[in-house]
Amino acid sequence: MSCKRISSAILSVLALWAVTDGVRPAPADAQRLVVAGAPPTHEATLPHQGSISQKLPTRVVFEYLTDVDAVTWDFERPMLAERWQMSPDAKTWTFHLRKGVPFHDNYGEMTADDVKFSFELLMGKDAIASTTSAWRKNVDKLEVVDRHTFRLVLKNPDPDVLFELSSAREVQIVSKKQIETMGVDKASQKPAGTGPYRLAEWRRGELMRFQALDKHWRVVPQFKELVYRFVAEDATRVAMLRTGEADIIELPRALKKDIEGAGFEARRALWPGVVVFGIMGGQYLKDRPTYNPKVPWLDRRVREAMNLAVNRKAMIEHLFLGEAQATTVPVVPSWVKELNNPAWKPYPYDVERAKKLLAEAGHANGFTAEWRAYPMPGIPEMVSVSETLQIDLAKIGVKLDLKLTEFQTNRPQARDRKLPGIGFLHRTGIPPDPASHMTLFYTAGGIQGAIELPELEDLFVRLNKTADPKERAKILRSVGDVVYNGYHVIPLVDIYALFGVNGKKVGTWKTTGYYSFTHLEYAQKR
Amino acid sequence: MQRYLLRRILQGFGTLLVISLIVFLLARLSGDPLNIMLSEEASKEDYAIAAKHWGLDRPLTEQYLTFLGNAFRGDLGTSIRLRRPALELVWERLPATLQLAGASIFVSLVIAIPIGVLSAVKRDTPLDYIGKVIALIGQSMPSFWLGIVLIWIFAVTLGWLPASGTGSFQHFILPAVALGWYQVAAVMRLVRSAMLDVLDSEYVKLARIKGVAERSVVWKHCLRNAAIPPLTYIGFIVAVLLTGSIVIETVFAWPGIGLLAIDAVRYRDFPVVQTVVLLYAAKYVIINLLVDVAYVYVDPRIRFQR
Repeated sequence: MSCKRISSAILSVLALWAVTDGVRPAPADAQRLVVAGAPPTHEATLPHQGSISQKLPTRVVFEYLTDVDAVTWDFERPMLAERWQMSPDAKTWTFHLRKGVPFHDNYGEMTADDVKFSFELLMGKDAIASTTSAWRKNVDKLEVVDRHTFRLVLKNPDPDVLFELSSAREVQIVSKKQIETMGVDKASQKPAGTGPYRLAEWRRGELMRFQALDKHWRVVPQFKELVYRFVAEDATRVAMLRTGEADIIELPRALKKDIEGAGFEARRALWPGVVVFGIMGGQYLKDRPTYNPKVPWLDRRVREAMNLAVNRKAMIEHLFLGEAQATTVPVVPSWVKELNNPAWKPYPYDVERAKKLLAEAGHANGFTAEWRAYPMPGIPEMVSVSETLQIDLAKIGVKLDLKLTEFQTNRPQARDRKLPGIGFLHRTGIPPDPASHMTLFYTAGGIQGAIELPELEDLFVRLNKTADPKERAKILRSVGDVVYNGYHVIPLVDIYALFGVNGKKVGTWKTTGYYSFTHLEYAQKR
Repeated sequence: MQRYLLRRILQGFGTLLVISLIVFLLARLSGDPLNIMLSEEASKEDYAIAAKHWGLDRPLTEQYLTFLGNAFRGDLGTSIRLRRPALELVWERLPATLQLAGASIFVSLVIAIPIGVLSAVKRDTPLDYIGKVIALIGQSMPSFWLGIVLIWIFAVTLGWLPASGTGSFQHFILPAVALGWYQVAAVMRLVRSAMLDVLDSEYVKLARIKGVAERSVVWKHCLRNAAIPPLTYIGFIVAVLLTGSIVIETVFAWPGIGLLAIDAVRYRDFPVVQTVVLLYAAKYVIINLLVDVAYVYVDPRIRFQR
């Protein structure tokens, strides 16, 4: 190849570049809002095809029976249901649907048939939604009373079902007509919802592009186009914000200062969205085959000692860079006054007392225990938290033998109660209504299996028998008292989701931060 | 000849069968996909329902034979994560991977050949040393780090190029440079050493004695004769790049096969993992077959030996 040919090839490329795009990337369109987040576990569109994180992009396409207020976390606000009635036993819920709400692409008016169909889809054989299990267990009947009235009959009382039906969760109302006409596969390519945006383009593994409707009963978005980009690499998302390729990004805590220094805003969600805590495996009911009375932390003094040895303040400052707060009873939302006992305070850091307690329990020289560490999506600090615990507990002689594994490997063993004497971290969302979540962690039938105690079983039996909100709050507080006073878990931190925002383009945008981005349809232009 | 060809095709087919079995078993050894597919709140009953739906409750032999039977009909399964036929997903991502591979090879050739030639011609001069340093840096710099540095300089600081994604010619530049940089070092070294051999040869001396211009001697006579080793290497690189670059595609959010493959492994999306690996294997089997066939035509001794 001659020098001339090489030169002409280079010149051709440069000419092509100049002709096609010029030198600088095109500035972001003022009508377009681009958000960049980590790719979801399931990249799908219909509600039954993935977990809650899968629904982050499509929250603007579909609507729900009830709405969540980003500022107050009130989840008993009307959305597609204008009003509702609960039967005295809290088993039967009747919803009166809003009239005249159309599905996208001329799939007709949303009716009770669509609501019933949406539930059936969520409970179907191929459904893998986060709440599929709960609905399968508790739904007794789905009834279409008339065109605009839908009745949900539950097997067990659930006065808090409105949260599960809210826009924070998974019951997205789909078009029965579309799915029956096109089939699930085709309908999922361009699903018809009733939300303020419709899906215009989906490039798998890359982005979803939504177009705002000109008219909508609830909100006409200020940004005519919303683009949701899937970007796994934290540093790339930050670069996208700084170059104007994205307007809102999921921001890793470690990179907060980088964007602030460059004139962008780091906005914290209004509420802590995720709790991280340690589970000391083996606190099972005594009739479990895997119950092992020799597990050291079956002794309350050992559990207390382990809790007192943890320096939560340092963890928050250095690992979470101040974007978290010490928690007391995991899963209980700290901001719901009725569910919190004022006596619950974060456990103090007191190494001397911890050593004394350990000696009293017969472990003056400490002991060794296996501790499973694994990364989890959304919390890059998970393994570091386990390492910090290892350092803290070593000060009182408790040697944690860290085993790096996968959450998915640990989960079935925890579910089957096969981890006596083995500890691990867990992270989960903090819903404003924690009853069902607490059941998962604090009952013998719960999937997560943090603790099993006869007194907790009694409390949850009582909880399931009452529909009175005050009585339920009282029972949940009692559950919290048992957990807190018995030092049954190692509560660590409630974490706030963090977002990088181009404040010159995006004005007011409030989010609960529950599973990342929410309320994008309400984002305002600067 | 026909028998030889038939035998080679059957051998290739057998190789693919063995690979399919290995991939099938290894994928399942890595864990239960239901642990990723189902939510944290899923009960044992939910596991049973999902396992039945996806056919994961059946004995492994039955699962494998079903997979094999469907594969013969061109159905390599449906992605658990993306809910679409796995083969369709791979075809969908192929153009992005091919474009990036092509661009990165172009970048590496454009940079590596002139530097390699000049390093050889100006042997043991500062220019040669600079070339050696470039080669050293290129081969020792991790591509993910280079990618992030390039983003930082050209997208964030200078604002010349986009940081990620696809859609325009500009989007190719940073990932292509990041991906091609490693090849630059390797190709440059090969060009340099091949050129050094050629520059000392008799015919080059003769060309000079005949008064051929030095530029023509170097770029026309020498480079053409020194091109074999770099070309062989580039052929190998083309094959590697066609399978996508996991690291570069992740850093630049480039929706190619590499990103599809790593996501499939991360989320235990068996059908996609199996499809990608089988296609990788098929690619090498076919290339080897073509090379063997070419040998037969090039070297008659092989034909007679068979």
